[in-house]
Amino acid sequence: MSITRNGKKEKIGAMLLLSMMAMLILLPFAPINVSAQEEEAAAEGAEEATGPEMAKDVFYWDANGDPWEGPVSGPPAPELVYPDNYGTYGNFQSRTLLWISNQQHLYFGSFVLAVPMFVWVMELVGVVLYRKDPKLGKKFDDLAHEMMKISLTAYSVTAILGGVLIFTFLALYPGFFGYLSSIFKPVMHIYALLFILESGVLYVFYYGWDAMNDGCGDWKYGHMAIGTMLNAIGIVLMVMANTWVAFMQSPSGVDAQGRFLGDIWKVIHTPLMVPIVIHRILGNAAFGGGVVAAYASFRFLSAKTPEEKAHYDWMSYIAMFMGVLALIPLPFAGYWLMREIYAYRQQMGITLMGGLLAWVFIMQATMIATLFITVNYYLMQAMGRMPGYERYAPAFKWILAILVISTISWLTPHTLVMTPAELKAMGGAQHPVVGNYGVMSAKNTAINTMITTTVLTFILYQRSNINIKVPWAWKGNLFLIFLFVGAEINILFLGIYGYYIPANVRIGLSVPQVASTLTCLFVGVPVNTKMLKGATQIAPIRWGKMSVRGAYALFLLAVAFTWTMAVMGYLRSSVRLHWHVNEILRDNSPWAFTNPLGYAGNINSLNVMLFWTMLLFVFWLSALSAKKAPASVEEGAGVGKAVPAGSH
Amino acid sequence: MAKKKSAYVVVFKVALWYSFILGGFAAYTNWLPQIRGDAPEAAEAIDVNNITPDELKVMGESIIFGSNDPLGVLAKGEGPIGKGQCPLCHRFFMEQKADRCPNLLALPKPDVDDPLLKLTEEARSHERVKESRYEEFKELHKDGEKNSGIVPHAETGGQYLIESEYCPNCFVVMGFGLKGTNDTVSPMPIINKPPILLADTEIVAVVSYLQTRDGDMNLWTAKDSWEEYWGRELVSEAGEEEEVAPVAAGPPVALGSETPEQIVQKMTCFACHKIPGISIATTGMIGPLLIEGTNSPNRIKSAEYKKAVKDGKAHATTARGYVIESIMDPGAFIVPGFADDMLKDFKHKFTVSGLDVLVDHLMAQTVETAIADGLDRLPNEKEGSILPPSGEAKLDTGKPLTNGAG
Repeated sequence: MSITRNGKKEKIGAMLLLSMMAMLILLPFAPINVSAQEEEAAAEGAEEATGPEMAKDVFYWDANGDPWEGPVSGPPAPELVYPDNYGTYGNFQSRTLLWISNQQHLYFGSFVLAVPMFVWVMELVGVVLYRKDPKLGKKFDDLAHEMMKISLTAYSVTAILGGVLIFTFLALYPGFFGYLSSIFKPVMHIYALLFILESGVLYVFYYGWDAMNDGCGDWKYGHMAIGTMLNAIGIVLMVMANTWVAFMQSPSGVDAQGRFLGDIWKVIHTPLMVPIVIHRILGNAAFGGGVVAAYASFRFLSAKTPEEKAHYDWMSYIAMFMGVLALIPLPFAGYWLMREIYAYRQQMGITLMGGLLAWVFIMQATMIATLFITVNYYLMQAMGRMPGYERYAPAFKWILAILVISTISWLTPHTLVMTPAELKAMGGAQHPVVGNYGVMSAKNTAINTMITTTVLTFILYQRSNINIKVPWAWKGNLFLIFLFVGAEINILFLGIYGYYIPANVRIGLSVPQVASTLTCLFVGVPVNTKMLKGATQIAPIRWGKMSVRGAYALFLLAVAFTWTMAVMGYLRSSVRLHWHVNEILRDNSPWAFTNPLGYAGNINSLNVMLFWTMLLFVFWLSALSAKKAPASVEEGAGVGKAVPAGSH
Repeated sequence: MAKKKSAYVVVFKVALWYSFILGGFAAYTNWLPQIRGDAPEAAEAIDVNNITPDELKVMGESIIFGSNDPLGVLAKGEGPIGKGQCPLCHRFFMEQKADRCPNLLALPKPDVDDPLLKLTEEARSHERVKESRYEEFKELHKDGEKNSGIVPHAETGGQYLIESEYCPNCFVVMGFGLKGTNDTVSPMPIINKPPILLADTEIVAVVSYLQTRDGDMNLWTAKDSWEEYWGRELVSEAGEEEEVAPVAAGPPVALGSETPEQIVQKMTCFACHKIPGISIATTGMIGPLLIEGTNSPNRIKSAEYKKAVKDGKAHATTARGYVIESIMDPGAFIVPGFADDMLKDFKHKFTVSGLDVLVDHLMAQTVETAIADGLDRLPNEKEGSILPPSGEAKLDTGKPLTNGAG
């Protein structure tokens, strides 16, 4: 296919293609109206005879503050009976089998939805850079294309795992699946149709890459528009899947018996839906970055030529950077979600933070600490390719010390497991000294310090091979010192002050603490980037010269992302306790108990191992088709020039 | 070929690294405390007429803490959380951390400023209904509280405790309301609805525990309070007859389905007491004559009883309460002229309704019924004989008298 830039025919063709795609997106929504009309007609017929039965929503209220009432439009939640409504395979816990198939589908689903987001950003960066520096622009474009190739293979695996998941539901939890399907019936087909549409758009997007690649011309923008569509569909798909989970955790749009009240939006828009969706989108993005970084690290380690090594070193850095970008707001999104959980059901929040599942948060803290320490460690290792980094090397041990101290503080539990004798000797379950670090004041201080320190490391990384030339350099440096020292003093002061005030006031202190951290990120990094303008390089970045330890750090980062997703999924699911749908549909199977953390840890590790094993297969497949040599270091635009490290 | 080999080596090394990381994470989770959260069992089939107050208290403890040794659970560093999930928010022990809802510590705290905290939860419950804020809540919910439909109408501490389970918004303790509601909306869920979903009898069991957790069974009014509050009988929640667990072999238990005669026989009261209306209880010479329609109103007003109250031994405020106390806690007050020898295990042997049956009967007995049955007081009862001098009662006072409760 030959492309003539600004060719009239091609333009018309592209517009037609885009219009068709847009219509396809709307197509799945058409049957909603038909279905709604049918239901309306049926309801009218019934009403003529008896009038509609009205029932109160379990969550929504009307303007008068009374429970919202809607027409009963579905059967009540069934009272499930074991073994009639549950299936088994041998002596396996059915729940564990479902857990594994669910987790695998979720991993691949997250991956194939996150990667197009990266690809879209990379492609955009490529197009923007192309005008000034075609080589650099092409480098980003190639990177985006390569990421997409990995995602394409994973897409098929995702679909297969989706089928496995549905069959597992039908075989092991038919009663529950039937009820959930009856509630989501009005939108169930949209999910299926969107999936088909997603496949079509994905294939056009991937296979049309080279054909529509005219640098930064109309075809490229057309291609990016398809990418936008791909991401839009992907996000809608993800949101729809999340609404089922959100409904299970915080149902609405049904009455106390679980009967659908005719308004599907109320079923979708549950009290926890929005924070869950936001949290998951960020989580997916971070996870996707981690997986691509691990892929690139693997290729980096097995590369045979310096060019290949340089390419994958660079790719791993970019993927890591994107993943961390999504990771940084994640704790705040998590905080918001938890706040909404408390607002929805206080006992649910307490079960999470101070009850049955409280120890899982110690595990989560371990994982987040692992992520932040690993990111810092990676950046320090990555500086090995930046001549001039030696100036900042003495700071590394102090940064690591701060991170370790923060981690220890963050991991300190509120109470300890002790024998009665130990308890008596200590005078209570809380240690008189160490116990002080088990409260939120200390933990908020620790995590904010860790994030601020990570931002500082990144700033050091940005300038490690740079001689700053702006005339206001000393002022800028002074400002940055004041910014970081001031922020940390504020974080520490508020943390200590929190011990002297009541809990309801203390909780408000987290806001100014977070504000300090975000100021460092959103003011400190731009100021530093501004300072790098016009700077000279001590020497070009030596891509491909990163230490092997740095690559292994990225593997740890990727596994930690994957494992954190698993453990937080266990947490979210477990907080429903013995309910399939909270307070509506009770789990009457023999597996209605909440497994202890150790069991969850074993299953999580098994899940992560399975996922990475399958992913290895995906990587292998994509490597099989790798025909094109990556851009060489010499060819790679930007190498040898004074480009800020942050934009690599 | 060399390239492939190199890739395999990398795969092997990375796989080792992954195994190490994943093994480490899994090992760490196994090292942390292991807590399995069992699904709460469906409401136990309880025949409230065939269970003792003491058993109700034990059952309430289990519903609240999921254990009958909550301090032991706390000592392990775990949270004693039962089906009711109360300790998630309420503090029951000094060792426990929970300050989201009002504390339910058993022991009064005389050293604090808040006068209510100087009281036990049971005593505090009586004060709550007297607060002016309670009247404000009555006004606020005069058309029925929106979630439960209940109009606040508790009159006693026991009823207040019952009401707070069914309608947490009917009264919210100052400082414990949801943020922004000016302490008019409670964060507490309705306990007889999901997710807690306790049955009526389970709620009575929880209130039984709250009232008597310091061991004083005389404070127990849970069942009566429930029936007074709702204006109906607490329905037995035993399932079909065949589903009711057979009474386990053990000490005899007085049941509500039995007659006073059967209970007196089963509990061997007749061995010590004479009781009008009970054919087998005409010869007891160890305890006082049980004509409580006459005795109890006088005894509760006596100087001796007031002293027992002052000493913190006795607690009854009504004649009926006095009779219940004398059965459940015989040592609380010893009738002058008698010794403290009565058995102390009746609190384990009476079901709620069985106790009602016996107390009803005793309260119905007066001087007149005793005379009609030809029964007289013992000589060492200071009230003196009730029969005319020509009476035929043959009083034998030749041996020391004991068993003075009653």
